[in-house]
Amino acid sequence: MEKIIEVKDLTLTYPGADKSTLDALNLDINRGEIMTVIGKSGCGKSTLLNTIAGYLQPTSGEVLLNGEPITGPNWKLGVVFQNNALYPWLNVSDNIGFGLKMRHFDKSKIESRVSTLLDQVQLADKKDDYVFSLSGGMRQRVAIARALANQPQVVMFDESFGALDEFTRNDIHNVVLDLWKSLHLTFFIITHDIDEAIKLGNRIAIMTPDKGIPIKVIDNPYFNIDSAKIDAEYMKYKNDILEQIV
Amino acid sequence: MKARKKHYWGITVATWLVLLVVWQLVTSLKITPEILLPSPEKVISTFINLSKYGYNGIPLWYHFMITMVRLLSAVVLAIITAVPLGLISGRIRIIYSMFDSIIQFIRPIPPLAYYTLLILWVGIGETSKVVLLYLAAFAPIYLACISGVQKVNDDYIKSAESLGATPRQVFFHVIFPSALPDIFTGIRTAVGMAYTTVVAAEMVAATYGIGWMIINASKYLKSDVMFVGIIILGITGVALDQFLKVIERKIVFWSGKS
Ligand SMILES: Nc1ncnc2c1ncn2[C@@H]1O[C@H](COP(=O)(O)OP(=O)(O)OP(=O)(O)O)[C@@H](O)[C@H]1O
Ligand SMILES: [Mg+2]
Repeated sequence: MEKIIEVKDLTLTYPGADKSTLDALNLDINRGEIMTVIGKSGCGKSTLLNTIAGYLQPTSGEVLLNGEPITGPNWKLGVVFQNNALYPWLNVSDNIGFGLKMRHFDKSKIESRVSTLLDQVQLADKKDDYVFSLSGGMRQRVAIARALANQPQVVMFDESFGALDEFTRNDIHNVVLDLWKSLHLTFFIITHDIDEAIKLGNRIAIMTPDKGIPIKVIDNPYFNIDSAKIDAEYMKYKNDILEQIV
Repeated sequence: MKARKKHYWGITVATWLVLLVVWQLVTSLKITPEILLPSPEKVISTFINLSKYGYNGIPLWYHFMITMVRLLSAVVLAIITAVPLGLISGRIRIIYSMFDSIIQFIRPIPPLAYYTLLILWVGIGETSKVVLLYLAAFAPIYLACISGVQKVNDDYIKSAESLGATPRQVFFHVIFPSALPDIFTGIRTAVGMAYTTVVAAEMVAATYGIGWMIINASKYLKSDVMFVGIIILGITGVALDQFLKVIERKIVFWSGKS
């Protein structure tokens, strides 16, 4: 497996804090996988994502993208926030095309990429609408499309689906999985929902710093499981994860 | 989303009608002397006369226009300077530390308090008036810009950075539009401040303008002219604010929705 992200002995202490939030954490993310991350609230999931995304600089240790240190936010590392952070003054197309415009792509190139993405997230009919007129699920799909427009190498999600109702969340899971299959990207998905972690992750990273294990990655035989096939084995697997966390 | 509060327009109109009727009654029953309270007809006929023949040899529209020109030129100058300075101060602590205390110092001083000083410095003409109004309008816009910048959703900035925006692009494409609703609030406050100040300044030192017309008429006890001037000021004030609200709704159409 080729590594795309390498986190090496990462320690992160917030300025003014008396103890580190991340302590000598090591993690490899493989090119083309979906890694889901779970852990108790406050265990440092967002801190890890923010460091990989380049918003925070390691106190010690390093984070590499393709072997090169990450020095700051970068279009190669896309991020989808929980509250989508879409720009209310731009319509759907302009939100999706924002990154390409900042990077001075030609208008025609932007238009063609935006229109492909609009189809992929099934929002072609909403292209001229403003974000405030969309439902929560549609907004999240716009946010995903916006993060994908730059064709980043890794796309990170910080509890991006947590605020959605169950049906909408299921639709979004399918959108995410379809995009992953067709675009061969690497996804890093933080969630507080174990079923979501199992459904979406090729591998699952469990963060339990309170037990002295900063992060541990396990294989997931139930990736993209059909909910009809949930059985006793699945429940046992899920319970094992739960027991590691609590 | 905030539910719109119902407005009973019928009651609003009825209240005005009652006021008019009371005014009419009080004057036609001669409860108060005409010199203190002119009748509605008198005010209307004075308005028509003033429109035809002007006041003190100067057309009424000219009095009105000069007041508006003083007001608007000062507000435009304030917008051009306070918006960039406020936005930058909201972002860069060094600039903030440089300007904020000065503006906090000037802000609570009633502009008329330093008007005479301005007249001594730059003369009694238009410059001192525009500078005075400019100083009155500057602080509300500047402070609104700072608060607008400080309120910008952090995730907006982080997403822009992850989408490849440079710091300059973040400023123009994210921070500026995010702060626009606050900028508008600041501009509306500034226009209100400048409007009060322009009338006061015209009363102190001018030879034309609606404020001057009112104060001049008071010297000759022409209460009908004073009424015309005051009514023009009231209607103009409301119209200005409504006009700004319409523009605001067009430009920051997303404000308040989410
Ligand atoms: N900007 C900050 N300054 C200081 N401490 C912080 C900051 N952000 C987070 N922390 C602390 O770091 C720890 C980890 O926070 P983090 O947000 O990474 O957790 P999380 O796993 O994402 O939690 P959640 O599931 O609630 O989102 C917490 O104890 C939090 O209080
Ligand atoms: Mg978090």
